[in-house]
Amino acid sequence: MASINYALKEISCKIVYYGPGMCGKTTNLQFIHQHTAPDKRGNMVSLATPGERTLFFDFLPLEAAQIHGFRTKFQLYTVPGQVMYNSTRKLVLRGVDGVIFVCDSQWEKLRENLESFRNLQDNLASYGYSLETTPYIVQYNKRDLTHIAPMEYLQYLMNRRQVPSMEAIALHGGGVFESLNAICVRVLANLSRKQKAGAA
Amino acid sequence: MPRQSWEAMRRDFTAISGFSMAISFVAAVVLCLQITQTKAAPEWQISGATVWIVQLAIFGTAVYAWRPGISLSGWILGILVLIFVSLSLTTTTSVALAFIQGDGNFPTAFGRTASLGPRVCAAFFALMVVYPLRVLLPIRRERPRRRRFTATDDAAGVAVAGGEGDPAVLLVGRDDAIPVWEARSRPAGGRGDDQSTSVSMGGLELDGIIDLPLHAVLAQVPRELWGGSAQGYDPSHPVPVPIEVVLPQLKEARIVVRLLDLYDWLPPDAVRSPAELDDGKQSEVVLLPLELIVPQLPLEVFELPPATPPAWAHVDENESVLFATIPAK
Repeated sequence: MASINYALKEISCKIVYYGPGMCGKTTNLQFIHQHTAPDKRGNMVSLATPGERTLFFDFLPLEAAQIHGFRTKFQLYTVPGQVMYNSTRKLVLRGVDGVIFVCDSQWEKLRENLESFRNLQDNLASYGYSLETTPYIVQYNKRDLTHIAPMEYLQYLMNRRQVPSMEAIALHGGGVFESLNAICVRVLANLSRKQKAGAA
Repeated sequence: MPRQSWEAMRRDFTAISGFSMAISFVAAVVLCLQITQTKAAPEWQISGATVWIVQLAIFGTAVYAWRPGISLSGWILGILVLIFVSLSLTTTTSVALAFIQGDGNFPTAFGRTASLGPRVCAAFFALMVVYPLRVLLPIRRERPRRRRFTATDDAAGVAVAGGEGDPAVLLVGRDDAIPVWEARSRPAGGRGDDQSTSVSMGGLELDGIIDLPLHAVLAQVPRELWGGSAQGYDPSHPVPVPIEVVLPQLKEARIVVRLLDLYDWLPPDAVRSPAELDDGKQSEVVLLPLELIVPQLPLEVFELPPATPPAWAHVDENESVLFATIPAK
């Protein structure tokens, strides 16, 4: 969960990119890493197979502009999308503050998107979390490809709760920062709400 | 000749087919000659009319058996082709007989080859010669009756219900993922009764059928289950899929049908008939191409009912978190 260090005036939040294999989670992180000022980010840690499949997880620490005098740090993680690495996915989700669910827009991947979303719910539930209380957004990636499902059908499949969603082309950066910004705003707002509720 | 027949000929009328036709024809002529030159007179006499009737009956039955669902014109065409080949065999035998005898008396030779023995021989060999050409015979095109229906609110509810899990996604749990053929057999009033499968969304009036091109459907069927005429049809031949099969499965991101159901929608002999399949194959399921189905549905089908957003979703949309980005190169 997010931590607030009043002594150091620092807020730290954990964002996880979740989704099926090869949907573009690592690509999102790589683009963010390449396009953020070096003094505002740490090194990107990535353990991948020779076939560019995430083996364990990717990690990128990122710092945003100060909010009300607090340094705001985000720890961005991705999970391995392959079905067999569920224990790793579950581990990465521990203490999550917000999720960007990355969907692959291609027709042949729609079913995998659904299964991955169900897996996200199951893994969150194992920690007592749920998507009712954990902010998340849906990112429809690979919108530049030709063999993709229309947005209306993707929304119908993946976003019944009608949370914020956006199209993306992570490879070229389209929608990457928009997605990150959307989840960060909601994570911080959720944190603020919890703080107020706690104070009350 | 229509394009469909030419395509069928190109694919199915192979060199082996042509070779077997030629061999059959030559063998028929040789055998007819042998029978014609046999001195023994037949012990029974049958009138010419009777022979014609029997011959036509055999030809008609054969053509129908070769192409189940053949059109009337195709059936008549098949019989005429058989008669033509049969007469060609008799004529060729007569010419050969006149040549062998050296007298050049064709009418006499024809009279001998048109007798009962050689004629029966020619008729049966005509069946062998024409058999490879059966794929060219036109079949009857049957389509399910188109109907229009208006969905009820209850039906729409079933169509979008995502199971007992998270209502935020149209996911179905293992128990909820009822294939449509099982759903049909559920008792009335249950979650998957017939009423719930005749669905649409939001009171939309929808056409009752979605047409899929034959090649796209056959591509999903294991090759060993293809029927003899599978490649004889135009690849774009429409396969009508009832919309009530499609709609309840849209939420699962895949449309699955049982091979037995698919058989009813495919043109004759495109897949092997259920009688030819063992139980395991009969229960085999086929995945229909979602990418060809969804674009045929009106976008209103995918409209979601208004949802109450979670508490965390309430934010000032003007707020944003600033990251120190560097411009793209």
